[in-house]
Amino acid sequence: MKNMLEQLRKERGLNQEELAKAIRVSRQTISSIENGKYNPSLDLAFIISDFFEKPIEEIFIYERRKK
Amino acid sequence: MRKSHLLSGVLFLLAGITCIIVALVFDTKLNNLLFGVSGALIVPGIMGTLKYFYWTAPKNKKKYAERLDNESIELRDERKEKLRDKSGRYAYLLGLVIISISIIIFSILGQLEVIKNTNLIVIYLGGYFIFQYVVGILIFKHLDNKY
Repeated sequence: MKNMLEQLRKERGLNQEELAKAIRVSRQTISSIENGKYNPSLDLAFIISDFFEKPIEEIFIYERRKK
Repeated sequence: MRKSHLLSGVLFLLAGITCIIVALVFDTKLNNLLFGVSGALIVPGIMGTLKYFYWTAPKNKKKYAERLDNESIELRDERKEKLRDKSGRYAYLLGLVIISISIIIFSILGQLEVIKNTNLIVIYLGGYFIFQYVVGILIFKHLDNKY
């Protein structure tokens, strides 16, 4: 799953530490999500979506499996 | 920091000192054990007491609140929770493998008479293996029904 987290974070002028504090996760989790190593839970995805005031599908882009 | 931290630190310290006194006053076969236990109680007792005074000092109050907040974030961080669960799973599987290998090694050593009375060890390890395996299944079934 691709995501726009890094871009949105930079647009807000936040570093990973600040974003992590704001949504109450560890800095490593932000880094892992940005690098595509970790897909957040639905809960965390909604928290991120609320934080950036954007619909979830604009932040997380799900690539459907080819049949 | 709560007063209970200070209380537990002092209690550990007192229990450790009691163990040393008992070991010094009464000459028993348990002396070595008592000295060992006293060390294991006194060190965390001193650390706990010192920690309490350090973190309750007015100049460290803000730093302590920050530390608590960070600890709470780290503890509830979903990625770390997932990784903890995963590492527990690997540790469980590795444990089962090590028990199995130990059973084989002790059986061989027993047969070759390198170690005597290995039967008890093999039975214990076998029981422990079955316990781990069965408890793993039971907990999984319980969680499966719950969620």
